[in-house]
Amino acid sequence: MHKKFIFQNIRRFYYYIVSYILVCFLIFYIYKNIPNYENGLKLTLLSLSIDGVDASSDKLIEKIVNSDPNFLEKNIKSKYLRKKNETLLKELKNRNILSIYLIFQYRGRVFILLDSNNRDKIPKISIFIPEDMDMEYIHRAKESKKKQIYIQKDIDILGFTLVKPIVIEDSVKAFLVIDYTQKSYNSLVSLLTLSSKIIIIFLILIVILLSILILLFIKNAYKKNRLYINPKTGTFYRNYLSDNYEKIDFTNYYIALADIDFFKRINDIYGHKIGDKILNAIIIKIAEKIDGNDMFIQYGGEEFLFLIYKKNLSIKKFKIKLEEIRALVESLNIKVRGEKLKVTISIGAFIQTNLATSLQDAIQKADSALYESKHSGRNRISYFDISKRRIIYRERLKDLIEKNNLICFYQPIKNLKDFSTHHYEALFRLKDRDTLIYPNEILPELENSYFYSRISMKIIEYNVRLLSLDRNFKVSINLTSDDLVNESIINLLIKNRKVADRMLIEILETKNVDYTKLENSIQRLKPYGYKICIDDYGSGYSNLSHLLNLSIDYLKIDGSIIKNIYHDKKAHALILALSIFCKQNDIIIIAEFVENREILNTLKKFEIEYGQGYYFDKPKPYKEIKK
Amino acid sequence: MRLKNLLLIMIIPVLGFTNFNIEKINELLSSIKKHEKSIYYFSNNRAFISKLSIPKSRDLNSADIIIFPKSKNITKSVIVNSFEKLKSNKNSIGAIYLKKGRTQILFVEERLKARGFSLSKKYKRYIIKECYLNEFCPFNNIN
Repeated sequence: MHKKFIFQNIRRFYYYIVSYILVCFLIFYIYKNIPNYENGLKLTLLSLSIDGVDASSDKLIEKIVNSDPNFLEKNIKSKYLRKKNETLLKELKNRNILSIYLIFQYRGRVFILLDSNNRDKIPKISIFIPEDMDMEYIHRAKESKKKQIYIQKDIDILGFTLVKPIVIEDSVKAFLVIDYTQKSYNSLVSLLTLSSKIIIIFLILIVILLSILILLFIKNAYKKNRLYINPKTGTFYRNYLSDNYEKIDFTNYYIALADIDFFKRINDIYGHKIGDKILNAIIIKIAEKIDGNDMFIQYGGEEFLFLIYKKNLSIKKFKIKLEEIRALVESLNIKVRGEKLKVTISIGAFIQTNLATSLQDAIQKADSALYESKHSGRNRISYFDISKRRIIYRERLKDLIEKNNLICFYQPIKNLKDFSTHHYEALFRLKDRDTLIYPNEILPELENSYFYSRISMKIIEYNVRLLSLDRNFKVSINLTSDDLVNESIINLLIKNRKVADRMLIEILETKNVDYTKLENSIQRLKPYGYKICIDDYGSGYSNLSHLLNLSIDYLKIDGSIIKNIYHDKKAHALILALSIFCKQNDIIIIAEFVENREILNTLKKFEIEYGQGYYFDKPKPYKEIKK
Repeated sequence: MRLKNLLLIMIIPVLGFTNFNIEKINELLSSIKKHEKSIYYFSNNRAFISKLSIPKSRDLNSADIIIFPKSKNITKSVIVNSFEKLKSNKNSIGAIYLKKGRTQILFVEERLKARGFSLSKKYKRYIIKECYLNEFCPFNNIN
């Protein structure tokens, strides 16, 4: 059941193994073929290195031959001519060349006609017996009428030899032979030898590195295996889920949460030790019903999470499977201290996981169904089923958002001294033909989904357009703390920084706020002129940490506190404390829910600068405000 | 100084002989026959002859061919160590020497025949006519 998941990154492991095999094969192949490649490269290198001499030798041959097809016969007959030509040969010599000589073939024998090393006053033609390799390349030069370069392997004092055919009237008359020293050859190829060794060493290092990676991978997998898998039952621990949360595509699974009924009693009666043994025995039995692609996770003490793979398993078969598990547990006869113990299990399942916003959301829905099972008598299975009507409604909302049916109404924030309008709070609605849909009908449906942040982006875009048209208009928009750690939203605000001085951001707190990230976002936006306000302070998730950890400019006190301010001592004291705190920290207070004159007067006594509420005006469309 | 020179004199011949194609020399010398029989070689140059895997005699008298003789007065068939010596020493049937780093092995056809030696035809590239010892003789007919 779980073996598939031992290697988390099984693909990476395969890549390592394949790379390892390929590199080993490559090393073997290179090692075997290095002599061939070396030889070829050496000859290329030699050929390039003798370019200068090669070009000069062409000129030398021209001088010796002098366009005379009978030059050979003339040189044989004239020692003076040979003397003169030998002098020319000597001019071509350098420290890398051992000797330069001109040979010719006559009646199957080879003779040296001219020799740069000749010290005799009268140069003689001498018979010459080339080695077998020399003869081979002389023959090749004759056949191809092209120069040949070859490495001298058997003659210690020589490195390599150049044989150049002298062709006159398309016939090879003689050969110019240049013997290079061993030293010159060695210096040319030493770099090549070094580089081929470096390549081999490099490849070996890669093999070693890959070996280490593979070993580390296996070691890591083994460690994780021990961390993730219960060795007694073979099931996953909960930490497997939390570590691989993002990697699991929950929409591929049906999700079920199961809990052993009255297990606490078993622990109380028999002790935890026996309780654990009973638990393991139940788990092992249930595990037999779980297939290879499924996941069976010990979610809590006696709580299990099943992720049952959807492919090729219909809803009906899934329900049958759960029923089999329930029945299996019910049928167990567990022997404890000579007694037979019966246990039952309650299960909650969620089938339409494609409608869940996250794995956690899906588990929560299964948990709701489990709650249903527990409270309906236990030893049963319940299903969390999203109604079709609700599905259709959610899709309609998404459609309205995408088709730019989002509009804003504006409610003024007034200066409590002179009742001038400081700015307007933008409150969004969705226009559905002639009907307006309000946030309290929209947001719960789309909470934690991608569309939640889409709404925020639409609100920003809507107000940026408005502020670009009306340069005297100033608004505040509502964003959640999740929005402000969303890079797309931050980038959108930065992109539209030209309106920053007229757009106040009201942060609505959600649970699990990462203050560090939120403060970082605030610090990124403030330089552009954005002002920050904590919205609904005093309700929901808002707490003192906001005031202590965030660099805010405004604080909007929630209406639930303001509405009781003139008759509630606690609200009174809280507002007083807040106003002192904010004054000392240059934070401007805005009071919501200013419904009547009494509230207004009380707020004035606290010297609270701004207020918002139906006492001043209700939210209206922009066109109505401008009238 | 004297010791250095002495050492040089001792080492050079050995070093010289390390450049020879010993395999080729062995092959050719082993193939020489006299009246179809194997022949024995002798040389005072122990450094050289020790490298050869050919039938060797203990002394000069019982040898058929002397390799690199020091004396010019030996009447037996000799193999000399230069083309010049091959030319000048009429008792020499052949020469072994280095030219351009290559091992040169030459036998004179007429001299081999006169002394009853024979060499397989496959080695004909190593056998020259007497006239080849003369510089211009081979090219008398060249136009």
